Amino acid sequence: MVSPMLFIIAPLSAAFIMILFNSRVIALGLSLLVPIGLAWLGLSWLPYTLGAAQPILVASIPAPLGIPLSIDALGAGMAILVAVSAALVVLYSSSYMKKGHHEVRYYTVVMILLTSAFGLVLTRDIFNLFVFFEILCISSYILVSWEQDGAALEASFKYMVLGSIGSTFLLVSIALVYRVAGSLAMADVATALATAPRGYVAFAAVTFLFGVGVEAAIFPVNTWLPDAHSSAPSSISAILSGFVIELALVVAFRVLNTAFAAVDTLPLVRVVAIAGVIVGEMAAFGQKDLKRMLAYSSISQIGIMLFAFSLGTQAGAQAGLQHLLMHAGAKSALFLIAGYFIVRTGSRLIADYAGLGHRMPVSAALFGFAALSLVGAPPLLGFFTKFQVLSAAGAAGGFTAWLGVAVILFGTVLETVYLFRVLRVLFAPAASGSPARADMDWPALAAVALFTALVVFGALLLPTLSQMIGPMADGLASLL
Amino acid sequence: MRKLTGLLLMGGFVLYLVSLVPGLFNATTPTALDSVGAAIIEDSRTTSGSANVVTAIVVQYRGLDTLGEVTVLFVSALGVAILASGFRDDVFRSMFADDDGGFILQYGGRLLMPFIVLVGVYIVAHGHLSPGGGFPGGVLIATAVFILILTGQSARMPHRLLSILEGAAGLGFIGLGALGFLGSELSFLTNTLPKGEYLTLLSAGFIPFIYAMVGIKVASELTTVVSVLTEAPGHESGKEEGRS
Repeated sequence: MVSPMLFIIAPLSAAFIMILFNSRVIALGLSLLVPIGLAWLGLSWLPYTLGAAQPILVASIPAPLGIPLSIDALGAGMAILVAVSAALVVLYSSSYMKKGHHEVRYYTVVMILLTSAFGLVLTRDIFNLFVFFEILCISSYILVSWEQDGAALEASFKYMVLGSIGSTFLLVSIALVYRVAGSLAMADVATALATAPRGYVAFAAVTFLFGVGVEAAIFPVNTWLPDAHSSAPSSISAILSGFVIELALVVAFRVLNTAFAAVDTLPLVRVVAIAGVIVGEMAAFGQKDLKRMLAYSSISQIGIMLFAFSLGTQAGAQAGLQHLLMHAGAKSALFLIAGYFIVRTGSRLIADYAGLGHRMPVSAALFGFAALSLVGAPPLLGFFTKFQVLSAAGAAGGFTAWLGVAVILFGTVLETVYLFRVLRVLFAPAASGSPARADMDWPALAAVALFTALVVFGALLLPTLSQMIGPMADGLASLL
Repeated sequence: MRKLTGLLLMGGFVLYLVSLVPGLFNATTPTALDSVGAAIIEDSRTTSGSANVVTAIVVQYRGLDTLGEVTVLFVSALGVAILASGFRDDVFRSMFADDDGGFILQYGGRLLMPFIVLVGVYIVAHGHLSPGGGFPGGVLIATAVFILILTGQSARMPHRLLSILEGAAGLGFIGLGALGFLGSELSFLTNTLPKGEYLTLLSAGFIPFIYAMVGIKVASELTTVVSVLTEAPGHESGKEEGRS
């Protein structure tokens, strides 16, 4: 077996090699090959992790003196999702990104982002978690500011200010925890906090939630997200909305649910999740800018996942993870297609896309499928995942669970209205005669088609997935 | 809107606090302060062979964190370089006088430079024996270049060479760490090199070599940051690099 340390080593080495050679071909080749290779590595580890988590020894020093890492079913699953998404986004970028504009550096930063994403799912040490969060944040700031126009710089700066505040809180929480636990390994932290004063643990847990909540875009510390995700290049919006916030959410929730299990934060988390759903949908409803609309929709979708996790039941965790898979596919596809809408029309406003469906029929059709899945239209994957979230909430019972069901259903209505508004504009009769067809370039089209295929045919994968989703959902509640 | 955002942010945090911390202020102070620190002090000589325990922790026990910190610096420097190449106006150049700084400053700077570099190299090389190591040593080496720029002698920096050094040093770090896969435990960052005689320059296995890599990396990255900021306006080298 190849060591899972390769998840961290390979993309990082690739980044250094790109800077060393500074050649577009090498950068592009490596950033395609590395995620594909890592997806394969994740697949090869998945069967071994279904039974029990596989610990990874670093520097031959076991915890608590060293840094414990471990790959479990959830980690392997998230790693595969991240690697596949990254490979597809890189494929898209190869035709979407402007040639020459620091292109090598773009792929370098994407590789660093990948390193931190893999590190986050593997680590079982709260300080190591902080280091990988920092790398994730800093590479995200850079990618958000990529266009270097006013909006992008402002969004990136805002993101950086909030992210730094979040990081500070995270660090304070780690210091508080280390004071009582005397160890940074999450397993030791969980044991030590179980006997520590409840107020102290609650304070540390809240500080932690606030700190990681910024990166995971948990309401109300997600105010940076609409600006950042809409001002970034569309390939980056797809990465950030497609797996970065989800990954941060899963990691944040897992740590809160295990290391800080001494205090029951689930009711609080459920309330902020429901608030996120309603605020996100209401804000998206009023948007005229397509990418901002999609970004606000991400806030509400994150809320749905967090709501499912916060039910605290096995069914809820499974539903949340399946919804995460659906959202990763659908939102990546939507952002990637929106990128080419902007390239072809030069405008971000939905109103300017009138009749674009005739110029870009394939893209618009794929957009339609992804949007339908996001809403939860029946034969598509989104229907099944949303239904599972709702039925898990119904099974869990209680006032907040039913409130969540009501809010998600209301949000779905809003989502349907605003996404159909976009579709109606896209397929409106063309203004002047028959315009020349100008679909996406083929690498971009291939990437988007694969993302869309996931959400269209994903329902067929559900039986296979159901054999693995159990251990993955257990990963949200265990550290081993 | 911005005030609202700020209010929401503060309100959110207050909500978190109030809902969860009824007993914060009368909680008793925890007394069990047994940490891993004591265990590491006991263990570090045999495990790492480094006389400086701090270095042992930084490079050996928490080597993965250090690799992460190196990456943080790497990606931050890259970000500064990308942003600086987009400057349209003369932001940083205006901080420096147009004249050349005068004879005394120039020659003083040139005279100091080799000594500063020497001290930097010394600090990097003795990281496992005395306070210091790759990070402070690398900063010192970059300072030498900064003094040249401050005294108005900023010759164009060899950006290509700097990024080659940067990439090679990063690969060197990972490569030294990967030597651990040769050991019996097959784990990354294991100190498999011979530990040598305690308290001598060539001891502590791979620690001095890793610190050398960190030193090269930090020095070249900070030099890049400083030179990119001062060369920024109308600067073409960044674009050339990107185009390959």
